[in-house]
Amino acid sequence: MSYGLRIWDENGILILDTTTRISRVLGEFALPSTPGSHTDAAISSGAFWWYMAGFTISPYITTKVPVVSLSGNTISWIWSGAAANFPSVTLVYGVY
Amino acid sequence: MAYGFKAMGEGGFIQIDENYRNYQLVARGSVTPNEKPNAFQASPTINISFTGRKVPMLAIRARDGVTNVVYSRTSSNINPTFTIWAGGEGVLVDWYLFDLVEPQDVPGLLGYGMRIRNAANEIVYEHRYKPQRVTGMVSRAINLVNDPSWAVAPGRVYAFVTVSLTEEVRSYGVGGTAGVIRYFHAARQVGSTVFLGELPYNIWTGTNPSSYPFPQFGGHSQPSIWVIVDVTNY
Repeated sequence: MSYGLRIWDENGILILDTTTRISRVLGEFALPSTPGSHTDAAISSGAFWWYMAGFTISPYITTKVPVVSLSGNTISWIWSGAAANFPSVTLVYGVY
Repeated sequence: MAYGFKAMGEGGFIQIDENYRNYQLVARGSVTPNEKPNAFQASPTINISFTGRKVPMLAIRARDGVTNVVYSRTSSNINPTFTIWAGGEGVLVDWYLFDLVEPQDVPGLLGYGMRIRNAANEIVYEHRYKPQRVTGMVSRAINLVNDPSWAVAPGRVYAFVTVSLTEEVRSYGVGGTAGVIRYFHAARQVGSTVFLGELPYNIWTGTNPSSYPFPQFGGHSQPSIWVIVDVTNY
């Protein structure tokens, strides 16, 4: 390798080189109880991932559930489910 | 960017950027789910809890590589409890907790290594913790089980992050003996393929004298969603 970054762990095992895709957090925000969208130009800098922090993951959910999608650099969400109440959800998103 | 730090890999994809924090492996361990707190529970579970975290993301895999695993989670970022489910008895499950690195994770100075901070003085990358290597994000619709759905590199080890959990409900029997089996969508790696499979978590049998089919649960339309993470040598 004549360029780039390599990182080894304490045992001398290579854990990052120029072919490694690692995740970066671009942002996080609380989902409001209305459908909406959030645009971030940085999403185009990699492959998109997202995660719902602070949200109960369970089959016994008694709240509405956010359904998240991506179009271009815009994250959109709607709410699914017959329950009346909305959970507190922090959407964490990034690229790898 | 005329100053600062950015590491780019082959193809120009960005690995480390001083402006964005990386998820890193802050804890790991192994457990054997062995609890069935009620007669209806079909697969064993075990709880693991953490304190003082930021936005933790847990990844799990069965050590044997072939047993379906999944987890549910309580609604807390800072002090979450994860319930790990295994689709078999006596299965060792490896877990990997990824999070943003906070000051309490890096007490003292080592005098060597690399730590990158952003303009807000938050830790973006810390050499003491392994980075989260994401392979992909996969989504499957409700009612799709045993799906050989994701090809991964041979010889590597992968773990699975539950982003959205869905279930399959199946009922059988008309009058007399009847039952309902509820399944999670779960994940496993077999060779160079990640499967989204099924894991029974609740079984009810009894007499169904008046109605068929049984009431269906849920009412949600979210798919099963996973982040697949490369944990080779982690």
